[in-house]
Amino acid sequence: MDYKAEIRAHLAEVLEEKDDRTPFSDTCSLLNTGRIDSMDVVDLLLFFEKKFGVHIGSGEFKKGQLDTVEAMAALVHANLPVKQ
Amino acid sequence: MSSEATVIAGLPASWHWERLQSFRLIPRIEKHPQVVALAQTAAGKLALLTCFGLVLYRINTWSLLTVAALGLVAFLPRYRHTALMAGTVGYTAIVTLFGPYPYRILACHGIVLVLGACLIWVAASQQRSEIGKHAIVVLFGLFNALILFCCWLPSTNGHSETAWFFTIILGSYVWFIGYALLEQEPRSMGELRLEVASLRPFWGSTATPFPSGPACLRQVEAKDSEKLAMVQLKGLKLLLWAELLSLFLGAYNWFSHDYLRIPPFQRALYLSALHTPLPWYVCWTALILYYFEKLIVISVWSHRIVACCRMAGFDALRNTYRPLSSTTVAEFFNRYYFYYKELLVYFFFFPTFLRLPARLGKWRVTIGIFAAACLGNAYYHFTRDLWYIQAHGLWQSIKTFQVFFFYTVVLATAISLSRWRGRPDPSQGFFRSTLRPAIFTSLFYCLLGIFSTTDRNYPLVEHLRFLGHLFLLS
Repeated sequence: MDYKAEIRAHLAEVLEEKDDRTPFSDTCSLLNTGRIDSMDVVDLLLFFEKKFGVHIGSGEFKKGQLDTVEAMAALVHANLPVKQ
Repeated sequence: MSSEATVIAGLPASWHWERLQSFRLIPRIEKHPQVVALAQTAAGKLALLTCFGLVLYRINTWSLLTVAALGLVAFLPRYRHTALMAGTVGYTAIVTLFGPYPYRILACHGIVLVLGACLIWVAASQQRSEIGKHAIVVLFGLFNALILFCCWLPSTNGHSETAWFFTIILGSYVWFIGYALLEQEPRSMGELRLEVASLRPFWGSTATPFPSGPACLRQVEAKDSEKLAMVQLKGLKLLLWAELLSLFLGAYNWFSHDYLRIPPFQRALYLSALHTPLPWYVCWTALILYYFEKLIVISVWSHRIVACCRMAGFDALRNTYRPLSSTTVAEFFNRYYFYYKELLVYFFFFPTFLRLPARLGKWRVTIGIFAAACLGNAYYHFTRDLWYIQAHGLWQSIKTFQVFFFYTVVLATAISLSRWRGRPDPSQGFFRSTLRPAIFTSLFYCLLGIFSTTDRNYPLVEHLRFLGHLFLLS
């Protein structure tokens, strides 16, 4: 699955809701520049759970891991459920 | 004017609207290459610093120290982290030396700074040790234990005052040290200068760090001289905007309280508590004026702090950003006091939310919101006013905290409901999707303002009486 593409599409929707139509790259800072805020992060975590089946547990999540599309994809990848 | 008419006049239909949108009271000087180039030269830096310093000096004379620290940062860019650390430590030391009990308080500051630096170092370099893994728990455990110890110590004991001094000073640093521990990456001692610089930095703060800790500072730090010049120009602009707002605030207060003779909200509440309330419409007017006054006041002081932070080379976000445009209660909370909301989210919301099992679904968000906006909010304010606990004792402090605790419960409930409802649908048109929700959001916070006080002057029933009086309920 192309996580980055899915995340990018979801983020575009989140930003559009805020009237933010400025394009962003996979390495563009979103959280630290204020384009998304901590409550958007909550929605992102819920989106990751619903879409990719990942549950980010406590101690595994840091703010920097949700700053860029690339970091988010890495976070999702690192938390994918192990297939039996 | 119709679109046809504007086309006839030789202008595109949206021309006026675009002009209006792009209008800036303070021009965007950071977008002009020549100004940015000038701000990178020694003369430009000096001019920038002088302008900034003159505006700051108008506010208070201590700001000369801030300007001196900013000068170090501007002229020693290669040693910026060292200059920032020296600025923060020097500022704290000098201000303390001119205050009451200088040596005792300075010693307390020193011990807290050393304690904080040690904890940060352990968290950064000994991440597998028990203290390194649970550094935040250790910090807050120690802080809470100290509060209880001070309450237990009889006030007649000769060491009681010193113990309270130390605890109050630790309390003023606790969220700063907490942030430095929260996102710690492995670092050597030499790389921790920014962490120490961020412990009540010289550019100002409340008990809430501006911006959200050293990890955030590293992200928003200007990486080259051009970016530094742009960020500093933005800082100067924001300071000028804060001063314009400050002038407006003076005129607003004169017009409403002196010219129109509308009593301040505190006076209206006082008279209501005496069972001699003012007419309901005067109470409404006083409350609405108080609401707007609070918005302007928070904008002024927080813009000043963020402006100084930008002058130090960090492109920090504004703390208060167009709160009146909020269409939901949750959005207003985010826009009104951004850095405080961030603190609640990172210290209370996420630790709760991430520990709850996934099967709880969206209920985790609601529980997390209560942990942050209700319990975290109450804990922050209760431990912020340690001087009150020192003066009145723990039990009395808990008893008189009822009004603010009521406020946190209502706030958390409203934010949860707001999150469940989501944003208004933009397809419903401007009035239903933007204007009406924005008015209702403001009205909610305006009414909630009756309870958002930590003054502890009246019991909850008097605040409720005032609320009832607004709706002609006696």
